[in-house]
Amino acid sequence: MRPKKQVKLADIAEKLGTSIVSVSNALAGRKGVSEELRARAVRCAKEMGYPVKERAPGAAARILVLTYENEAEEAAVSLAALRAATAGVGFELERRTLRRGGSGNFAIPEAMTVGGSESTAGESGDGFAIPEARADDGFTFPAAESIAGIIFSERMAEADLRAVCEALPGVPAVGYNFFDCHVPIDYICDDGFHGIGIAYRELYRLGHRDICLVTPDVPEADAIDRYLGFLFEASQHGQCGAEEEIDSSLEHFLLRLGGGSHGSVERRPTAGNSGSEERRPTAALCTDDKTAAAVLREARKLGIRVPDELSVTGYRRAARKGSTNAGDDGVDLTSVICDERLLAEKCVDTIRKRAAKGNEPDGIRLLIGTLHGGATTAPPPGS
Amino acid sequence: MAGKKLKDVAEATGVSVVTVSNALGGRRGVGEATAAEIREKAEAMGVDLTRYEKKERSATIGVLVSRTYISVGVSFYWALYEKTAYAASRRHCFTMLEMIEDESDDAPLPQILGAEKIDGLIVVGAIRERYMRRVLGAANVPVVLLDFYRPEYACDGVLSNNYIGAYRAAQYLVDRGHRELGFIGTAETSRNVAERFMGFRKCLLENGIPLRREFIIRERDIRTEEICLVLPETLPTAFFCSSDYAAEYLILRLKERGLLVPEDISVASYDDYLYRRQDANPLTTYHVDMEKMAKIAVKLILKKLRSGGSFRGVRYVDSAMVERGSVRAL
Repeated sequence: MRPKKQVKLADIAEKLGTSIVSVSNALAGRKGVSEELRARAVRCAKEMGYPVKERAPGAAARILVLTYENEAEEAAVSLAALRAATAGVGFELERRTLRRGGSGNFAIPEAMTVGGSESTAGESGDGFAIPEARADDGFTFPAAESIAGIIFSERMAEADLRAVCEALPGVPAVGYNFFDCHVPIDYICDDGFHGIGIAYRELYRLGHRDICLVTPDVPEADAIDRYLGFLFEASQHGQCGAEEEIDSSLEHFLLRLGGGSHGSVERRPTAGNSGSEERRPTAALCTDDKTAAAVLREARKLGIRVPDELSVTGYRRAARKGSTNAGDDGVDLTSVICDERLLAEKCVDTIRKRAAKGNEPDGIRLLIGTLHGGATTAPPPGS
Repeated sequence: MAGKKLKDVAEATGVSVVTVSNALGGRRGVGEATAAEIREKAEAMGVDLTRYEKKERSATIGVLVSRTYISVGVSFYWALYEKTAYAASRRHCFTMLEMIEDESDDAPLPQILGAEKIDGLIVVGAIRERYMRRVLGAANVPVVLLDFYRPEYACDGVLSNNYIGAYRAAQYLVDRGHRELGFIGTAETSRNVAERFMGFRKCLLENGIPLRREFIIRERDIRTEEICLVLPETLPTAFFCSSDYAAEYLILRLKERGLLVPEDISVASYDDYLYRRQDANPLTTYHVDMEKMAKIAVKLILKKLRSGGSFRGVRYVDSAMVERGSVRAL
């Protein structure tokens, strides 16, 4: 792409009255050159037609951040964390949106779902959601060479992941807080499976033996990992068998909380207290904060005191560990915090390392959260 | 930086090039004060010091392995120890191996813990819990657990990505048309196997496949931990085995029934190291990346030695399926 008459570093050096090495360093973004000289060198090089690389090591490198149109609520959280993680470390983010219409190949099991808010707008299943580059929606991919990496900042359909990776071959790609085992890129993911165990062990430590898992009536994909993580932890503590299947729906739990009215909900054994169905559980281990808030509301309605008579824990994504996210009634909820900042930093780190070393993807990397000890947990009554 | 060499620093400080080199490299033969002065000067002159920082002093890393794991000829943990020793030598460290013969409560503690012989400790493979607690209590060096973990130990661990790996293996079967899946493994005897069982369940849940208890088969007696694999009358179309060993026993049992793998029944497993054995079946299996695990374990020890870092948690090392033809697409 160079012009016919090649401009050499020596020409630029001569014009600026400095050494060739300095010009080289300046254009390559290496240290040892003042920013003032660097700016002059870049300007001069461009004027003279010397090819200045868009992505110079040390200079800001572009990371493409992909979300869907009408992004999921959680994408906003990821974007904020990514912005914080890239600030001042030599990366700049460039956001692009994909049109939905992926195949939605994620099937939520019948046992865990009621209805479907699962966001697949285009159900036609036409697969590839990336529209052709068109001027009116401005959707074109930049040249692969000008991109340091790609971050998929929300769960995306397999076809979409593949299409993006094929459009930008050789560019390190990272999935943010989800994974797809069919597309071999890097994934940095909150470890919901082990994470839920943090809350379980805290409740167990406090003396609870009637710990009940509560999932929303319309669970998100993450709920499966937390559901299985609960069964794993409970079986490790000898509270249930690893093969057990439990009804963890909020509806079911609220009925148990209320005692008498059984309604139409089918009663299945619940981990931790098989056979003691009539007894009220002493702890509600919720797979997310919203569900925990619903439990708290119901408990208040029924006159059940939290945490004296019932301990409640949640699970949330937060930009900083330990940050409190008091429920709508100002209750400081004990919760497992998925550290969004850490996830974002690891994403950026992964791109940096892969760009520098050119190594293969590491696959799915799980990062565990931390416990925020709030005011909704205490030893069980009568202990 | 252009042209700023050791020679320039030597000239500016009025000492020889060798002295500058020694000072920056942290070697002997230079007084503390002079060395500090040279380092300061070199930094001010813009000499690239990063290559000096990379040099770390050599450390001795103790490795503990329970003898019960090593007794087998080609044992998984023997291989893992090899990788650890190699990873350490790549980082200019030595390893000292000690096998634990006796893990009872009144058994003596490992000798390598005494007399300041080691700078760090890597424990390869689970050791009886009470003995492990005593080891952790006595070890006043950084400890990393390799291929096992318990939250109560509050210790760094490097493990295979059990939950995800098993999920990958089961999904591999589902992707090839299998809807009737069985599990071979004894979740009660090992945390790793229990995690793999849950990864298997994740795959079933996501694909809407019911969990059939008659297809969950323990290959060991829970109490004696002896091998006893009994297959039910009706069989699924494919099995996920929690280890290559379990897969070998399964294939043996299937053969007794006159069933062939993969023609009659598909098998995917976990570990990928038995293929070294001459008589081993060619298994399609999830690869446990021992090299990477060992490398990370050594890196963790050195990091902790350098910066005194505390508990960091568990690192699950992911990998991929290795296809060797024990799975047939339906």
